[in-house]
Amino acid sequence: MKKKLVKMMAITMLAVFTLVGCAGNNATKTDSSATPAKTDTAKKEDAPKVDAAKEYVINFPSIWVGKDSKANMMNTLIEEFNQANAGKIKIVVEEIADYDAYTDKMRTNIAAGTVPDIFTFKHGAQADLYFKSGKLMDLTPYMNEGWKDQFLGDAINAVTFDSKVMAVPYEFGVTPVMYNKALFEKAGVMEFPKNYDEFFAACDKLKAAGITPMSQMTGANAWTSMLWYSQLVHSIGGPDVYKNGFDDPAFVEAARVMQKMFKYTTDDAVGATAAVAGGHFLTGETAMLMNGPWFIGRIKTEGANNMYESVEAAPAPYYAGGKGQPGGYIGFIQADIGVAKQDDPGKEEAVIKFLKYITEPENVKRVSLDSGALFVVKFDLGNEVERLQGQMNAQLNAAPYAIPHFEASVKPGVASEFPQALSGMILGELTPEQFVEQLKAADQM
Amino acid sequence: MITKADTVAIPLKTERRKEITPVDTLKKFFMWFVIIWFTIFTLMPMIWLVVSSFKTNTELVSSPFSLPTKWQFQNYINAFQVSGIGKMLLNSLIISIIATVLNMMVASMASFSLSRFQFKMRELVFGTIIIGILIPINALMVPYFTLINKLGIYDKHVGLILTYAAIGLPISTYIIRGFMSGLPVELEEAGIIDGCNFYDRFFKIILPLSRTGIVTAATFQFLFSWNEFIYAMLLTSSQNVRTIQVGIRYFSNQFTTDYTSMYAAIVISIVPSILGYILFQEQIISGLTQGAVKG
Repeated sequence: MKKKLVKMMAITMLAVFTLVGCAGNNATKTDSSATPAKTDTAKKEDAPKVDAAKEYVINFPSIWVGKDSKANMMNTLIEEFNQANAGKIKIVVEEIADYDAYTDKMRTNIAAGTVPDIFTFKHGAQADLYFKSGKLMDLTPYMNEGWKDQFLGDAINAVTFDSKVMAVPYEFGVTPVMYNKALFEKAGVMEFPKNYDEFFAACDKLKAAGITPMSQMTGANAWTSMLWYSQLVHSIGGPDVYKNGFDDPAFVEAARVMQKMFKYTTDDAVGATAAVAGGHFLTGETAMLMNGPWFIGRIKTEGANNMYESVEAAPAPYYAGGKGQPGGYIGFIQADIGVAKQDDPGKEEAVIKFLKYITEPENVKRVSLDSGALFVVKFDLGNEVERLQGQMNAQLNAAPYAIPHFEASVKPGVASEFPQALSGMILGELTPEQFVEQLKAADQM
Repeated sequence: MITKADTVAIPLKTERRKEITPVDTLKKFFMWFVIIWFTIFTLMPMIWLVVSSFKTNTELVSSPFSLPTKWQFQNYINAFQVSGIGKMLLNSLIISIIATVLNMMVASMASFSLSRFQFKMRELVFGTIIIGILIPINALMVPYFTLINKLGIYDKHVGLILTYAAIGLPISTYIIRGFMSGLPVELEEAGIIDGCNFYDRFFKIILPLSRTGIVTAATFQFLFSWNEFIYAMLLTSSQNVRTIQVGIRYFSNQFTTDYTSMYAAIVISIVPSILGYILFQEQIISGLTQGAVKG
C-alpha cells in the first residue's frame, strides 16, 4: 500500500513535469496559435514589414457556435476564407457558446492585457468600457477607404469613440411582437391591435376563448418583459425618453401598463426564464411573444402543429395620447466586432482582410438568410427573404423611428435591477412608483 | 431440567417484546416518513433530470413532470456530436485525477510539517495558507490568467491541473492537518527508535494513518476539479483541452438554450461521479463522518 502510494506520487510528478515540458515546447514553436494575441513575445517582434511567407494565425473567440442560429453559416464562411487564404491567413475559432462566460473571459483578457485578435461584444455600456480601454485597433483609416459606406445609417457613429472608429458594427436586432394568428382568429380577433385599448380588448377575447394572451417573464434578465417595457416607455414618453432620466412620468405609466399585462400571462411568469416564455409560445399556450428574428428558426423547428404558418410579426401597439408614434420600433446594434491593436502590420492586414470578408454584403446575406438574423451591413435580401424576416424588415423601414431597448439604454446596474424590481411589482410588493424609484436608486449608484 | 423460574421468565420476555406503545408506532412512523421524504427529496431531481433528458424542449416546457411522448435519444447523440463531450469527459478525468493527486501530495506534505513540528510562526504560515478558503475564485481570474499565460501553459491540460491543485490547497491542508494533529506523538517516537528518518516517518507512519483525512480532502478536491467551469473556460481555447463542464454549457447560447441536450450532457457528466462513489463508498463515508468530528 505504502509502496503503491509512493509510486503513484512519483508517476503524478512525472506526468505533471512532462506536461509542463510539452507545454513549454509547444509555446515556443507556435507563432501566435490560439493563445491570446498580444503577449510580451508578440510585442518584442521587431518586424514591422509584411512577411509574405508567413502564415498569420488569427484568434477569434466566437459566440456564434454550437446551436446559435448563425453558427452554421459563420463556420462555412470561415472555412471558405481559410481555404482561399491557405498558407497565408488562418482563422482559429475559439468556441464559447455560453454568453456570460464569453463576456467574463473577454473582460479578463482586456484586464490582463491579452486582447484576442477579433472578438464580439454587446453594444451599449459594455462597448464603452472596451472603447475606453485603449487596447482596440483604430479602424478609422480602413473605414475611410470606403469600407464605412457598406454600413447602415448611424452605425459607424455608434462605434466611434474620441473621433476614432473602435469597432465594426455587425448584427442588428429588432424585437416586434410575434403573434399566433390562428389563435387570434379563434378568439375572434381578426387584426393585430393598433393601440393599447384595442390590445387589452383583444387580450380579454383571447382569455375568454381559453387562450393565455401573452408570454411574460421576470427570471434572468426578464428579456421578453423588458422588451415590452421598452416599447411602452418610448410609446408613452417618445423616442427621446431616456434623455429625461427616470423622472420622466413615462416610466411610471409604463410600469402601470406592465402590471396590467401580467394579468394576461401564464401563472409561472414571475421567475420564468426566456426558455419558459418562449416555450409557452411555441406550444401554442400563449398567443404573443416579443422577441427578435433569431427566434424564427425555433418557431419553424419547435413550434407545435406547424405553427410557423400562423405566426406573424407586428409592431407593438402605440399608447394613445403618448409622445411616441404608431409603428415605433425597437432596433439596436446587437453585436460589435472588436479588434486588438496589432504590432505586426502583416497581421493587421490579415485581420482587416477577414473583417472585410465577413462584412461583404454577399456574405452577410448568406448568414442572414440562413439564420434569420439582421445586420447593419447594407445588402439586398431580394426575393429569397424568409417571410417573417421580410415582415420585420418592412416594418423597420416603415417605422418613424427605431430606438434601442431599455437594457441597452440604461446603466448595467439598472438593467440588473430591472428583473428584481419587476418581480416585486408583479407580486404586489412594490407600487409602480416604487418600482421606478428602485430603478432610479440603481441608476444613482 | 426446567425450573419454575425459567418457565416464568420466558413468557415475560416475550410479553416485553410485544409491548409496542402508540408512542413507539408514532416514532417509527415519523422515522420512516423522514427517511422516505429524504429519499424522494434526493432522488426526485435526479429522476426528473434523466427523464427530461429524453424529452423535446417544447415538451419540457409544456409538461415538465410528464414522461416523454417519444424518448429522444437524439439529445444524447447531440451531446456527443455537437459539443464533443466524449473528449471532454476524458479531459475532465485526466485533469481531475492528476489535480487531485498533486493536491494531495502537496497538502499532505504541508500538513505533515504544520502539524507534527513546532517552529516559529507555524500558525501564521498555516493561517496564510488557509486564508485562501475565504477568497472567492472569481476574484483571482486576472492573476491566474496572466500567470498561466506567462508560463506558456494556456490551453494546456497542465494549466488547469496546476490551477485546480493550487486553488484546492487551502481546504485540503486544513482537513489533512486536522487529521494529522490528532495522531499520537508516541507513534513517531517509536518510529525514530526503530530507525525511521524524516521521510520514513512521513511515508510509513503519518501518511498511512491519515488515509481517512486524505480521502475526505481528495473527495472535495476531485469534485471541485470535476465541477469547475470558470477556469476551465478561462484558461483554455480549444476543444482538445476543455472539460465536461464547458461541454454542458455548449448548449446555452446567447438567445436560445437547448435544455434537453444540456440535460443529456449533465447525465453523462454525473455518471463517473456516481461510479466513483459506488467504488469508494466506504472510504468516502468514513472519511466524511470522521471529518465531521475531527475537522
